[in-house]
Amino acid sequence: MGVTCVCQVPIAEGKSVQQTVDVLQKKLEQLGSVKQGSFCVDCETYHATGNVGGQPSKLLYVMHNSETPLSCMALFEGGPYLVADANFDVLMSKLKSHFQNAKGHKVESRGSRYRYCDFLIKVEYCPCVVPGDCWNLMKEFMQSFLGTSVPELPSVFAAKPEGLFAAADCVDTMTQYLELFNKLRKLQIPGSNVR
Amino acid sequence: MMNITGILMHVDGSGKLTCNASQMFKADEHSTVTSSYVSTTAFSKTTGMSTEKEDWSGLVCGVLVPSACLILILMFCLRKRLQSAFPLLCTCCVFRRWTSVEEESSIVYSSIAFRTPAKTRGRELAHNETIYSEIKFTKSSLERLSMKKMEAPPVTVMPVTGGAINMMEYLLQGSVLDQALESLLHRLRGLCDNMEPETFTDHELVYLLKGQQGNPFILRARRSLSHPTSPWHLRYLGQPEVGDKSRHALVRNCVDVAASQSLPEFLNEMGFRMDHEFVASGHIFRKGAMKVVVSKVSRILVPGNTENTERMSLSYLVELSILAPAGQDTVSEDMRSFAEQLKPLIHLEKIDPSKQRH
Repeated sequence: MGVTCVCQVPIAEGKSVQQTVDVLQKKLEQLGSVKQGSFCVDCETYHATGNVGGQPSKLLYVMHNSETPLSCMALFEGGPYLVADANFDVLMSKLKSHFQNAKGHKVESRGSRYRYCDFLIKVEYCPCVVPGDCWNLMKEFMQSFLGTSVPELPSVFAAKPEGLFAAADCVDTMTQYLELFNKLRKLQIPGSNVR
Repeated sequence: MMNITGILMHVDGSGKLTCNASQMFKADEHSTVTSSYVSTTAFSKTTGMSTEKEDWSGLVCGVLVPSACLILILMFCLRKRLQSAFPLLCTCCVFRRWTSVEEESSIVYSSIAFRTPAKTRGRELAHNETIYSEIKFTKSSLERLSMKKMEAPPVTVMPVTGGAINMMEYLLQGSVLDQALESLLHRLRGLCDNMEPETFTDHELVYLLKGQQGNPFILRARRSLSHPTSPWHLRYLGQPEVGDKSRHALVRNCVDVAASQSLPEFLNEMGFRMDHEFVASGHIFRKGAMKVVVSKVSRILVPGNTENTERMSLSYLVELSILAPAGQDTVSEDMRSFAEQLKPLIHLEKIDPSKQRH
């Protein structure tokens, strides 16, 4: 497990989403990246059915990542998280009277997976788990194919009590995806984001 | 696909049996497979005869050669029964090992160790990430690979099944007084697979989620006190099935989830509240897919403090259970047979927990 940065690449002027994706893939291939299949990250939303004291219903996000195919991540936005195995989905189906699945809110991110030496795009720098030690390298790498659209350091790393030098894990990756998915839901932009 | 060298046999015009070694399957050139804890005991025979330049040679060949072939075919088909009756070590080329095989006289379960790195993405997984590898055999390679003994893997290393499979727990329970414990452990050592039982000390918390109507939803969260860094085990147990009263064991739906260390905090955020907690310590035995747990239950005097406990009774709780997909009611017969062997030391019965509440 390395340090992952999930970022949204803006659509190039005058081009469609697919054309922008094609340009990005071409740049990666020119850099020497090797295509290694595909990836998929999905997010389902559950809301608690019992409201206590008129408080707003809590939203529970259950996410899956093809990088960890038998794991399941469950998160409350801004709250605790849980990493569990695939049976957690079965458990959620047993809890349907208490937590209802908002089926219309399911978001998926799919695409091609490229490997460039130690980088996996997305972008993940595999040999290191400490964001503070590799962020500059990751930023320089992203500049080579994203140009000026390089994102800032993900807030999930900066928000930790130990700062940038706490080890990253899969939940940090999924938190970045969740922030992106929620941003998309608010904007109600159809189609996938470009990475 | 596995690399197996086989023997093709045919009878030529003069009645001779000719054998040619040929490669039956193509191997993956990048990987080798080493089988440990497996003893190959299949054997086969080849017979042949030279032609004799006599007047009766044709008749002899015509009778003996087909008979020999028929005997070989029958022996191949009945090889498993013959092996159990007359076990022989195999050095024959038909069931030659593909790579180095460590043979052992006794087998607990068969496992295969891959000597080359798996074709994964080459990254290291953290201890809390689930890893799963799938070993695929073609049906024909399995038929040719003769194992001395193939037993179900130990319950503790069985992968957690996910997805849509509906798992049921078949359960029998009983208890023994403290002074009868050693006799019971001695009997179980003889009957079960592992020589020495595994000991455990677990802390279990029972959580309730009260809904607007109906019974509260119960979840059991369990962690090992002897292995504090191991994942938590979250378990949902459904109501016992009331269908067939002649069934020998209690049957209920079961969902097991391995979870990270943040489980208690997460359950609280979901709305669950802890109802009670206890510490269970004892021994685990296995026999095939059956699990026998002999445990002493202790109440926790100060919430969250597992060091300060008090034994609840002067006896040990004994539970015999199997996890199986729904519909496999024959497992309860196996459980009943096993339970019979433990009598009169202990009487394992079907006890409905809902009828025990006061």
